[in-house]
Amino acid sequence: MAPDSRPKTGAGTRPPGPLAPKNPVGAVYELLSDTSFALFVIIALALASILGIVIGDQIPFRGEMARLRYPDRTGEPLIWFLINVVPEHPFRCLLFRALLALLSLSLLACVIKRWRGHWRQALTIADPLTGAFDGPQALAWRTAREPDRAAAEGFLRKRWFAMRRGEKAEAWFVAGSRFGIARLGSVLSHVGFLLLVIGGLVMASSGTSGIAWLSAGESAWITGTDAHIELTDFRIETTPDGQIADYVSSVRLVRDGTVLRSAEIEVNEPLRYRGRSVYQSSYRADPMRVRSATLVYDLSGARDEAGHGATEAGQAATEGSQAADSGHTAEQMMPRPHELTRDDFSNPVTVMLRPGDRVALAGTPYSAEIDTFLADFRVEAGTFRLGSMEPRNPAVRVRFYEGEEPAGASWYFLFHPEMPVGSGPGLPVRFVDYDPFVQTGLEIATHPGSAWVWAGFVVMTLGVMLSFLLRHERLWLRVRPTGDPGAPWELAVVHAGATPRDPALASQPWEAATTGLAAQLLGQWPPQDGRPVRWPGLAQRTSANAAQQAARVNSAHEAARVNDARETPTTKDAHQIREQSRARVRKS
Amino acid sequence: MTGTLDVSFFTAAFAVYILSFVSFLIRSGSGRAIYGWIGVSGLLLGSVLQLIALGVRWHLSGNVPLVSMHEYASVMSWMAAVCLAWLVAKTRRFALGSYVTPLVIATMAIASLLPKKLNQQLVPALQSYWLHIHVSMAAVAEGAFAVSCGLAIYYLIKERKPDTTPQELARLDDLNRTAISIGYPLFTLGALFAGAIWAYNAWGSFWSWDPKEVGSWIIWLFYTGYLHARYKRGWQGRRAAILAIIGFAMVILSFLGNLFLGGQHSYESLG
Repeated sequence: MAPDSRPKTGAGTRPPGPLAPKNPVGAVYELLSDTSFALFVIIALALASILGIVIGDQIPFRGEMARLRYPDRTGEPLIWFLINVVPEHPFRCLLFRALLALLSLSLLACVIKRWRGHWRQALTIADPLTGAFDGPQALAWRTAREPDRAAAEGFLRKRWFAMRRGEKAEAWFVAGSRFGIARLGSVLSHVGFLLLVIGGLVMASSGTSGIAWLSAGESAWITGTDAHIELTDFRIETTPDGQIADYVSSVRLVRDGTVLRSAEIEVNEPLRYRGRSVYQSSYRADPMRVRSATLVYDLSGARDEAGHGATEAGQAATEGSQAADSGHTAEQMMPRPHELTRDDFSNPVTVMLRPGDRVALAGTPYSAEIDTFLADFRVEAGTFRLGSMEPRNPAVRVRFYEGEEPAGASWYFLFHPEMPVGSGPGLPVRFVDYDPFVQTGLEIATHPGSAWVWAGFVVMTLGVMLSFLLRHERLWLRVRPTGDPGAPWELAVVHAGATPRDPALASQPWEAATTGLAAQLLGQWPPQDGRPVRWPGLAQRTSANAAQQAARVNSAHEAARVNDARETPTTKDAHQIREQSRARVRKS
Repeated sequence: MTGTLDVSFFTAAFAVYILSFVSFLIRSGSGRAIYGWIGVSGLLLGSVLQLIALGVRWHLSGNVPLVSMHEYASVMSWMAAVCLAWLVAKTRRFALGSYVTPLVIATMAIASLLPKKLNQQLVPALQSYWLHIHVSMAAVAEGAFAVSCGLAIYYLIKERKPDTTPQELARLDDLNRTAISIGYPLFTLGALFAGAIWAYNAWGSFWSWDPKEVGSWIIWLFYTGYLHARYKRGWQGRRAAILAIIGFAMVILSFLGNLFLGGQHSYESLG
């Protein structure tokens, strides 16, 4: 989208597109390339986005509902439609994608339609004798001295204007143009956006992404390659006051047993390998592994019930081994009266168990080791299982031994210490704490459309910069004889793009600026009082319409002069330009 | 941790902006230019104080002051104040100050209501140089949109006055266009592109239709529509002014949407 700096006279009509609207294809092309249509699609997209963001999280979309409710009927047309056409994500539904596609088609049609015109304007210097000097942006002066052509060309050359010169009879002209490349900014912006949409669609349709939860020593394949990553360490770095500073996964990239490289994956620093990216996405406590579990048992309870526990040790051991073998039914895990833990321990002893280590429980004949850990213990259909990945009901199963003989096993619950479940030795025990084994979540993703997206970024950035940082400027100069002995030369200047569209709004600062420019162009100040004539070409026109228009413009222009005169600063600016130009002339 | 020194400077800047507004109002009532210049000076002084406040926050936290919503709103209002001071000084249209300064004050008021806690330790996702590029460009762009909104309000008011000339309106309209022409490319490159590239590095996806992303997308679509309507359909004057006001309303909604829509950009809450 570039500010339009075309001259508003002469070349005001838009060239027809390559396809005339005589056939259906041409009509569709004309519709798509129409700015009003593009605006309509933009508004529709904005409204759809607002709807998506407002209701997206509030309403369970029918696609998701249908998928959950009718998992066995996905082949039926209606269910297929609900699942595939109305998916759960509002920005991936067919309507939204259709609007995006329409916008893309519109952009494409606009680019095709306007490419030739923009390209021509960017690379060529328009012929100023084709009516530009008849427009309202032309200013003309009558002068006794012939304007200095070399000075004019020097002025333009110094300011990077490309020039085109011409002569016709006794008249001569110079047409200057600079930063014409800015005309391509609009086209490049549109093309860039198209590339972005294409890249986005490719990525959304064929990109893959998945999270690998790894503990140290574990590895995961990088999708679509023959290499895998092996986690050597994961650490959560914290500040002295306990705030999280960073998550760092140390990995090795391995292929065929050879370590290709070692890397540290952090947020903002992914590992890239053959078009695949491995991101530090998340972390969690391993729901089935702990570094340690801390238990407290009551020594006095052990003494009180030592005989009882000892007598039942053999039976408990048998039950424990049966439970282990049979997969732990809910019936086996029903609490036994003798295992209910007292509220207060009169002689508590703390012991920390680590996986694989059997620890003697001081003061008792028992030793204990961790058997199983579940972060979310649940019982369903008679068996226990992991309910979720979250630590909602952490439980640890501890095996007890008396000497080398099994002495039972019990589940202990962090949030329900009063209710152990199992066939323990009758020792009052509580599960009070645990140190989770932390897993890193590495997202392994492929981005098949990323090249399109990067190209889109580059092209559109270039387009936006050309459109908004550069301004296509054209300066046309014509000198011709007037036939008037008092002022035999007429100098006309057009500074295209600097004039407001509506000639009635053209004001004195613009006129002063163009006048100053003319003075600089020629290295001299025009004679008389420097007051130019607006729209000199009109004098040669004969139609009544032109005369009426000229009258309107000149009256508006006169009104503008009066209004401008009331404004001190702008008038001051104009005077400054004039004075500077006059001083320059005096010096010369 | 709340750095009291930066809050003091921020409060001082807020007070100076209010005084500046009062001065512009007196200028409008009395017609004496001196009050207009006092208003401009107030804007400049306020922006310097605000800059010091931001600098102090930077020094205390060790992070560029673009992390919290308070800091973002503060940078946005600072940008609007600087733009306004420059605009008024350049055009000598002191009445602009009466209409645009309230927007600066409103943005400051929003910033003052948001938590000012200093974030000495950035969350890992924010530890990137893209933070400087993405957030600063977005804040500056939205500051430019704020100025365009103020100019549009001024335009609509001036349009109703019988003694307003077409030249004055055309100049205001052109200033409005200029403000959006500054804001739009900065927003496109900073808020959208830089944000997308950063998201690609940090989250593994250029675009994830996060509420904030959708908000920026809507704002971008809107201003794209504005530019097309203006340059291709000739929507100027009143219609362009109304669009500029709606556009900035969207900016504010998107900004405040962070607080209640959540998403990946939600690093802060009122609580």
